[in-house]
Amino acid sequence: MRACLPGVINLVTNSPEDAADVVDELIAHPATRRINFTGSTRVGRIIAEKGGAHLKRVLLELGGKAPIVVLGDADLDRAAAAASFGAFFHQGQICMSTERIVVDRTVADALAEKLAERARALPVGDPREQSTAIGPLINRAAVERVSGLVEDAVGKGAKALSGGEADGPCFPPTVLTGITPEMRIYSEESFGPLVTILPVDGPDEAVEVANDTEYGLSAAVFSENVGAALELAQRIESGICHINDTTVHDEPQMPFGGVKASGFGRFGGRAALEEFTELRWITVQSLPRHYPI
Amino acid sequence: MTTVDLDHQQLLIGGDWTGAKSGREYEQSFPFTGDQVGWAAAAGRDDARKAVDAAAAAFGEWSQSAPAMRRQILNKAADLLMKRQVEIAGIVTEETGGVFGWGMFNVELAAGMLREAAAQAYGLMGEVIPSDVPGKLAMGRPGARRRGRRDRALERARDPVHARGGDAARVREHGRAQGFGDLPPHPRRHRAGADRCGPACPA
Repeated sequence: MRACLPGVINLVTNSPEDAADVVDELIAHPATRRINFTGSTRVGRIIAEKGGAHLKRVLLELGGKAPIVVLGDADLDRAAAAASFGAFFHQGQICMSTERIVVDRTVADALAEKLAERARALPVGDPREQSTAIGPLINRAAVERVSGLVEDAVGKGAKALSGGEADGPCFPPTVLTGITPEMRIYSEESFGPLVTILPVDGPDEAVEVANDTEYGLSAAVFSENVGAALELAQRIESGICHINDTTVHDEPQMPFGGVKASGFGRFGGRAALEEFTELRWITVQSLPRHYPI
Repeated sequence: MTTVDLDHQQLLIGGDWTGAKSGREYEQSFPFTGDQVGWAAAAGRDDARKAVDAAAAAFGEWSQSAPAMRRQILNKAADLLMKRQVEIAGIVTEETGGVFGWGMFNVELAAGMLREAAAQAYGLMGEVIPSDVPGKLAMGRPGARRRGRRDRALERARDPVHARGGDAARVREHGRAQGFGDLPPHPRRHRAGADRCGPACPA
């Protein structure tokens, strides 16, 4: 059984050490007209540079540091559930993963405790077991990177309300408080099951902190006042923003994509159609024209 | 067409499953135990070039095929993917360490993307932008256009209730001069110039 015409879809897999060669060849080939890359911001920059050298349009879906902004009037149970899913689903290894909870100081402790309670209850272990919610990180290097981020933060005064230490190939869901901008976790994408609590005083500071990142893929705002949430959503620098929902959400017909170091271009629906076609200008001159020379 | 060996993932080039030219493979392991779960072809420059050559060779026929056929193919691909959802979710767990639900979600999303692409098969549309040069019909950007004075005049001319005197004949004549041919009847908006250019149209 097959669905397609031969050659319309081709698949090339490569060993990591050959990536530069293979990517070079794919981008430089004269028949290649669009380059669509999903991956890290570090590699995305390389792809964009190579695409630029050949004057080819590049679409990039890169890293993120998604915030959930929780205003003082938010439904904290809903916010905690959304944050737990957004931060820990697939061990936080999703470009849209919730990395930061920017929360009004009046409800910060209550929300942090609700989230930590959920985090502690998530079963960690063998992903082949049906009861497991949190499986292993993708490889050993990822476990070391995530451990390093937590050690750096805790060493500088942060506190882990849950998790905090690797368990073999797994890293338990970790809620960190007492975060300062000097900690690596404040600005670096964790791409792991870590989430930071960032208390703020009011919506203006919430926007400021939410935007204090090089990334801008997904975001969310929780408030019972949808008007205020919408106003705030418009001030957040991100390609995607969900009101009263989590940051991890995708549908094929929606214009998915980011701003800033999260890349550019939109995937899904009509937006994708425009990205992958060439807009042309064609005219028909029906009357003879007078040309000056 | 060769069949797929799940333990030795091959390259798909020009409709054939094939190993890398160098014959090399790389190992994939289960992140939870570190056990080896399979091998995949380790492509090099030659394989990459061949893959783009194959895509370029297939593009002509594909881009000229009826949108109905492309829609059918994309929907069929989505059906085939969903038929194997559980099996693929199991492979996702082995190769990435994600739980079963993660694999299931990804397969469903991928099938949804294929169906959305199928839905776009008739999505390429153009519009007419008025030119300042007399007798020039210009066609361009896909997407909605604003109704202009001429649209309203055309609609009035085609509308049996509101057409007055020689309006209809005059506007039709003008339309023919502009290269529209015979104007479609009211109330259908005319789409005289639909500029279509398929995916990655060779410039």
